[in-house]
Amino acid sequence: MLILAQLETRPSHGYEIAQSIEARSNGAVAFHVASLYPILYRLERRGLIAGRWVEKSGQRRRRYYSLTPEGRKMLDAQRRTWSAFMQAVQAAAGLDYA
Amino acid sequence: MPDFLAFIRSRLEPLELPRQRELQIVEELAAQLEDAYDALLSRGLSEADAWRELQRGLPDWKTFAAQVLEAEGPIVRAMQPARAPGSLPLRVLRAVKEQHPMQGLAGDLRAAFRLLRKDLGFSATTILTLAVCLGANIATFTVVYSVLLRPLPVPNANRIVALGDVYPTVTPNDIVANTVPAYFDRLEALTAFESQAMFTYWFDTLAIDGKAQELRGMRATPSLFRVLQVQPALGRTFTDAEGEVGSERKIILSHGLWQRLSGGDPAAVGKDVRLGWTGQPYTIVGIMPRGFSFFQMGSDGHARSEGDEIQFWLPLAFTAAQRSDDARTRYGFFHIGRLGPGATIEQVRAQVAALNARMFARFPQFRFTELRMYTAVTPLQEALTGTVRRVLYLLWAGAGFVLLIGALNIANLSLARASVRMRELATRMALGAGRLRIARQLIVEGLLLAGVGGLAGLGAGAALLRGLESGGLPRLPNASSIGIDLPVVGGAIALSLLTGVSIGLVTAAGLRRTHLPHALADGRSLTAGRSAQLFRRALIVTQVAVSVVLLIGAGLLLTSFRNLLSTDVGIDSSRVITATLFPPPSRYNGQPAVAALSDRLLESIRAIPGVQAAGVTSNIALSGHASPSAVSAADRPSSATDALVVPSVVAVSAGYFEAMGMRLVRGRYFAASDTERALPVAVVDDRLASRLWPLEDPIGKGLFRGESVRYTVVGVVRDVAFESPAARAESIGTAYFAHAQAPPMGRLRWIAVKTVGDPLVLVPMLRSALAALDRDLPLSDIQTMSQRTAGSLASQKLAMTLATLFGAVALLLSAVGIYGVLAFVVARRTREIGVRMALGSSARGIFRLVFTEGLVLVAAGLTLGLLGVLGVRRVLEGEVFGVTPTDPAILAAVSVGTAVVALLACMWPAWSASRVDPLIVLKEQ
Repeated sequence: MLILAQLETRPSHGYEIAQSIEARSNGAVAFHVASLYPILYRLERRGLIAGRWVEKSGQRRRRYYSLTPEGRKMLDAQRRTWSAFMQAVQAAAGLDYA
Repeated sequence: MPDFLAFIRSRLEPLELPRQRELQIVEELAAQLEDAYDALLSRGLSEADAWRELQRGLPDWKTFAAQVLEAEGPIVRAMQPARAPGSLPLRVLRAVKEQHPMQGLAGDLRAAFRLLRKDLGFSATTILTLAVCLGANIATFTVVYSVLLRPLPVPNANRIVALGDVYPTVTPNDIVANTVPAYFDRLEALTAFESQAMFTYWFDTLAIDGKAQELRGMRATPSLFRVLQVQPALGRTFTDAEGEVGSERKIILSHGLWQRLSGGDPAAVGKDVRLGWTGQPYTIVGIMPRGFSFFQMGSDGHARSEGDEIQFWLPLAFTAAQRSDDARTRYGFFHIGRLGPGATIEQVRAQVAALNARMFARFPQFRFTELRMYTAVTPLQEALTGTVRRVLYLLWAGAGFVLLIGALNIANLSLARASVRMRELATRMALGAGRLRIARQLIVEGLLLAGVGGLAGLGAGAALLRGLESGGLPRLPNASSIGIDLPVVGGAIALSLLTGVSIGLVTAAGLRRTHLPHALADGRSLTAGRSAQLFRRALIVTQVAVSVVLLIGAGLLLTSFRNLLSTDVGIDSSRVITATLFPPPSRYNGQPAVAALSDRLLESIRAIPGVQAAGVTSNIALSGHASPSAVSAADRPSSATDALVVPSVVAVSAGYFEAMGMRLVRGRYFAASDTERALPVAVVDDRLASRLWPLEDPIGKGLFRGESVRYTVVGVVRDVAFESPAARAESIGTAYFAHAQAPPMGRLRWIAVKTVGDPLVLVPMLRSALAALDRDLPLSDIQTMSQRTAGSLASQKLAMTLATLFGAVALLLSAVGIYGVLAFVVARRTREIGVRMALGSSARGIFRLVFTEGLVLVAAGLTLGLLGVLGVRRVLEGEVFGVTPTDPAILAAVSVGTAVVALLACMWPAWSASRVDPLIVLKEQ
């Protein structure tokens, strides 16, 4: 879900994805190459994200990943599950902010 | 900066993945490391520190490799046992692709689209060719389908059969030729039919909104609706009792007439309407469903436009006189029957033949045997379209030829293009794309082209159809139903798909024998091979041959049409206006009353300034149908059999021959003095005269028409054509009777008026002349005689127009094809030509070299085409007039024309070959 969420607004390449997850979670969640790429490849195989090579002048070409419609659906579904789960956890742990 | 690619390759052990994929993964990782490294440097670290820092975050390569493999999925991994050293990547990729035949189709389509957009010249040529060829086919197929193939709008229409007596010595097949006594015999004898019906066309007038309107209707035996298996939308059809004299004052309305008459009020059923013919009230018993119209027929005997639709049905009741044996030659009815379950048309034929044999024996006085009469039994649809069937099928074949030429062109173009793309295709094959996979890509490209071309073709077809509306189309049977509909669109789509797949397959076929290393090296092995060269040349020869056949066909039809136009039809049709009137018996009882009305009308017409001559007739020249009736010569010494002939029999008034410009050969025209009480006289045409009295002067001879009255021949006129200009040669002649004395000949009368100036100016005056005599009698079918002449040639004109168009397109496409192939050959041989020139060949020599190559192809095609024409000579024979299918002038003109156009197409490539600069070519090496 974390990776899908990074691709929601714009296509990114692997390094960007890792960076932005790290930045958004204030460093709490960090991905290593070792775990990031196999996940990306698996998501791609399942048709949730699609990668394509983009060349920019003066740079090595990079593979940019973007969210497919299926990926978007999956992200929504996961978000709903997660927020239900989080509410349940918050309620159970007495973390009610209301 | 460190070389990350090399670094990763050194650490990561080879993944058991397709090579391409593995390379991608390595590259992607390298990019990531590079980014991370850059980020570290930008935080101020030294290169050495950044490198150290980066390495700390690196994965355990073994685990990483395992995870990536796992992520790449089971299919690839399942292939591992099949691994053969060295060849794995290609085989795996292919295995993956082949396991999902549909995978990547969308990608193929996108790729095809990009490619075609990039190569606009090729795409535009192909699409344009397809649009023209498919357009021609769509238009022709639409006409063929609508006119010949679409079933009549009644259930199981193919089980309905039409009967008609044929007198081969008199007139060709005529489906109106049935008599009442024969109908009653057939009701008994033809057990293969489950039901039979007779009907005839009927014109009548009906007051709508207080104004008398002439309507087209039908009188039919009540059984008609059983034969057709149609139910009324409201009310009922006729009962059998209503088919008897005395109870036949019933009427069924068409949906359209019901709307016009009562605004669609259901209470109309049961009400009475008054018909002008008898002046009697008729009770409406039923309303037919919307769209039902069985069947429309124009005044030329063919179903055609909207206005000819049948608007009402009356019961057909027969009088005792009509049923009597005397009426065995009183023709004028349609006879149809529906085959019973399991019955065949052959059974009907056998039963009719047996019945006729009995009748011939019973009634020797009608000389059926001598006249070689027989009854034609044909499926109704075929009978209705008999006259245009052959020509439409021929045109369809012509359109097919055009498509063939177009397809050959496209195949050639695709081949040329495939050779240009050889390097690309070979590279893809080297990277592991299977031949099947490449073939699929090529077929997708072909389909995309054909799809766009097909759409454009639909548009072109529709445009062509619209254009043909002025080219005789509306005169065809069922013309009102001609339109592009579902079966046509379906056919067009099927044709496009077929063409698309063929384009792809032709290109792909070239790949079969491709030698990969050669193709990669110079990208030329695909279509430069001997067999490919031969193939392209064969295509050119075929194209030229097919266009020669088409052009000769077009030339023949064009010449026939010109011959028909300039045929002497026996009349002078300039400045003649014609119209019909149909005096009803309620006001004009009997033949003399009709003649009296005509005479009064003619009198007032002759008083109009600008009128040179005026007359009426019961059948006008080029009306589209003969009016045959048996006639016998009274004073003929030879055998009695020869004395009986069946010419057209026509009643005319004084002034008619003059108005039509029919030349007098001997004796005199009819005069106003040939009245009811005067000596019965007749005028014959020269054809009938030479038939009946070949060696004698016909003037003063006697003529009998069934009855005992002896008509004395007082004049001989030139013969005229009634059915069509072409039919004149086959007619055996015409006997004319003065209309006041003539035997009964129906009530329809044509007026013919010869004018000094523009005949159309007179139309309002003609109308008011008739209105002054009878306010409720409309004047219909107003046309100049030139219009009638043109109308009688409508189907020939259509054939000629289309054939000429097809011929021109075929020639153009062939020229493009020849040019394309030669230009390609020149481009291929530039190096060779350069070397030749360097070795001393002159520009002129090179020109000759290339030009000769084209010349040989064109000559071969021409020869083949001319042989082809000899082959189809028999098919063409029936459609030409005044010219033989092997007319030397046409053959020569087409040969020379084709040769000139084809050689012009050779010129440009030959010229550009002679302009090759050896220096530049050799430098390129």
